Amino acid sequence: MKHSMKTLMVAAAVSGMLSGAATMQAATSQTTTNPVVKVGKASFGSSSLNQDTTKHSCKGKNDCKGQGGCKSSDNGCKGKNSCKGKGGCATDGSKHPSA
Amino acid sequence: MSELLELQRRVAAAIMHPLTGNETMPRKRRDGLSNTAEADALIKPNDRLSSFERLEIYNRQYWFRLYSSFEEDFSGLKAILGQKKFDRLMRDYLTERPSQSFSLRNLGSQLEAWLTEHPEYLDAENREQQRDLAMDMVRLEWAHIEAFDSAQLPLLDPDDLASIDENSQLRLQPYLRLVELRYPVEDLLIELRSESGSSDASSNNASISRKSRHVRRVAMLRPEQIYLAVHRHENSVYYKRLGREDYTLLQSLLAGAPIGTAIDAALADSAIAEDDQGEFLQRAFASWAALGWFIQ
Repeated sequence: MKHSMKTLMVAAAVSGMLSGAATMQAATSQTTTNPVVKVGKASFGSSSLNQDTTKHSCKGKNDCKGQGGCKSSDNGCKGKNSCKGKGGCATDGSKHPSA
Repeated sequence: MSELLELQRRVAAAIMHPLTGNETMPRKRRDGLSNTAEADALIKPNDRLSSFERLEIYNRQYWFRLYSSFEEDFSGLKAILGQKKFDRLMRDYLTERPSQSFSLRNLGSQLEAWLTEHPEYLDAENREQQRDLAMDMVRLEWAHIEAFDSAQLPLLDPDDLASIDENSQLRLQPYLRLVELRYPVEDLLIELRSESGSSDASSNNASISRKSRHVRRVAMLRPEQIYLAVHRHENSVYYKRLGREDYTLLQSLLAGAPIGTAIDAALADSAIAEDDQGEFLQRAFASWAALGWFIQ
């Protein structure tokens, strides 16, 4: 790509970043006053997260299970009750049912 | 070495030693050391359990906890392989690549590399297809973990944009992960997770059957090139499909290429008409900035 062309392309990218940053700032201030619309629509206008083929991966989930994030701090949701039915916590020496 | 430290190391070695195929503590370790003798030396028996049995409780509990974490992290892979194959893979992987971290979050960090060395664990009737599908799922599930809890750094200040030229390097959020797939496993994973979370999944057998149907349906699809950004927004993970140019551009930026070089790489052999390239770049960068991906 020619130097002059590349300069134009970089300028286009930077102008996009400026408008994106402005969109984000507007979304953030809107979020403060109206938390109901903080995701997607009001925050990002017509190019909302949903319309932008973005998919919410934790649909239907209300907890951190399976999302991985809770583990970095204190292993919060890991392995709780993991011994349930497996005998691992038993103090009577009983074995795992499959053993 | 202090007596306490030595005791801690010996107990840790006993607890972290792999179980037998029957999920019990082996009488002899792989290095020939007797667990019975070691248990006698470390733990007193009580009126119900021998020293060996008491130590075995902790040994088994350690591994059950790892299994539980791993299974939770790779539920998509389990749905593809089925419980039996998944269990075999999990046990062998965790034995060969034991946990090295204080956090269970890192259990699957080497899974993709390990499976590349051991593709036989993914074998099925449609070998190539299942391997590709399973590897896609492993990549996605690991990217999900990384996207969920990697750091979120302060955004690039709009005032700094004026100084950007083609030699500038842009930094992106550490939680942004790019994944190249051959099957729409992100749709499959969302279906599987909503299946697991749905209230009508009361019948385990019916749920497993539905999951198998989902997997079969995706496995029968013709492979296609899918470019995915796995990222976080307001504490939730999202899967965002990208065009080839977007993907190449982001990948180059993540690799540290200056913006001019990244644009060159993205637009080389691009189907985007030259007249439309400026608009494409403006739209792409606007979208990424709005998502908060550019950082200081």
